[in-house]
Amino acid sequence: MSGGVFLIAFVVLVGLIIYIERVADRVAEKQQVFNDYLQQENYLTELKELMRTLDSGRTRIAHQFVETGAEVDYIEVIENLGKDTGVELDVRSVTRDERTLEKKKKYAVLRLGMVAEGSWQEILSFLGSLETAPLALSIESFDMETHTEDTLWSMPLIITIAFDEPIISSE
Amino acid sequence: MLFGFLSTNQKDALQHEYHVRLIIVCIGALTILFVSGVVLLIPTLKLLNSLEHIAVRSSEVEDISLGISERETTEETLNHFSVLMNIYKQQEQMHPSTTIVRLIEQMPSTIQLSRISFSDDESKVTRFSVVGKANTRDALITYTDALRATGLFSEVTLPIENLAKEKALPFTLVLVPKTLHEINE
Repeated sequence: MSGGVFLIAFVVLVGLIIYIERVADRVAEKQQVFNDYLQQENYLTELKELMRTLDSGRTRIAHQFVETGAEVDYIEVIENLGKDTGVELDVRSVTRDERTLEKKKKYAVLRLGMVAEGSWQEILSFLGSLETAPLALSIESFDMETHTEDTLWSMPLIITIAFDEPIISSE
Repeated sequence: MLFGFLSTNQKDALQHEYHVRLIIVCIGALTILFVSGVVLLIPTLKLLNSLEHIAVRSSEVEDISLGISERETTEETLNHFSVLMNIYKQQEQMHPSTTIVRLIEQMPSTIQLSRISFSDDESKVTRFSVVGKANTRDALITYTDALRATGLFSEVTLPIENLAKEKALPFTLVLVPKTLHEINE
């Protein structure tokens, strides 16, 4: 009889140990999954924090790039710069073009061809206002020239303003 | 052996006593077994509680997993911002008007400019071209040297043909400006 009791006790103990091990394995597995989730959560929190930090700058920078569909607004900004500096500005061509960012990556630009006429000071002032305008603007070329002995200068110039669009991969 | 000398009554009493003690030992063993079982069940119960807790937290995390799309959107926005900054950096250039001002500052009164061209096409080298007329060869050479001395240009080219005439020399200077990085070095 005591042998029977001992056998039962042994079986129960072994059974309990196996059961506990299985539960522990399941717990460890769940814990791992949970830790992965926590890592994801921390990453997301960091990203959100970064977004908050950059938010004002990001908005300001984004406004300096041409919004698709609002190209006219940007042309008008350039025309107004001409008026403000006193030059006669004639926008002669507006095209969409591409520029290389790095290998196999391009970005879209609004390319404006125009002619500015005015005094030396006005032309120089217009050029300066283009350079310092809060726009993702690049002066591609210009050709300041005076044909006469008077003070009138003529300046055909080409500028580009980058579009706020995803990068174009030329794979 | 001594058991054989006992009377039947004594034998019965002894056997009865033996059975009673055996039952007591069995009950004790079973009690120990149950107590051990309970003790072993406590960590199991704790583990099960942890498991339940994790399951509850995991269900809360489901909301985070729903935020995966939000994460992707955030990453995309930040990547786009990074691209805009790269474009901005690429477009950074020495302001041409600043260079023109320096060209004028260095220019002696014996030289008259009639044309200044600038080209920053990505397929070509950035360059200025200055066209004008110099009263004398010395004035033109002095002007060229003064431009070289500014440190703003990596190349200042005065084609030799420009020195053909002795007076009222028409000239074309080609200047390659240094990049902002080169100037800051």
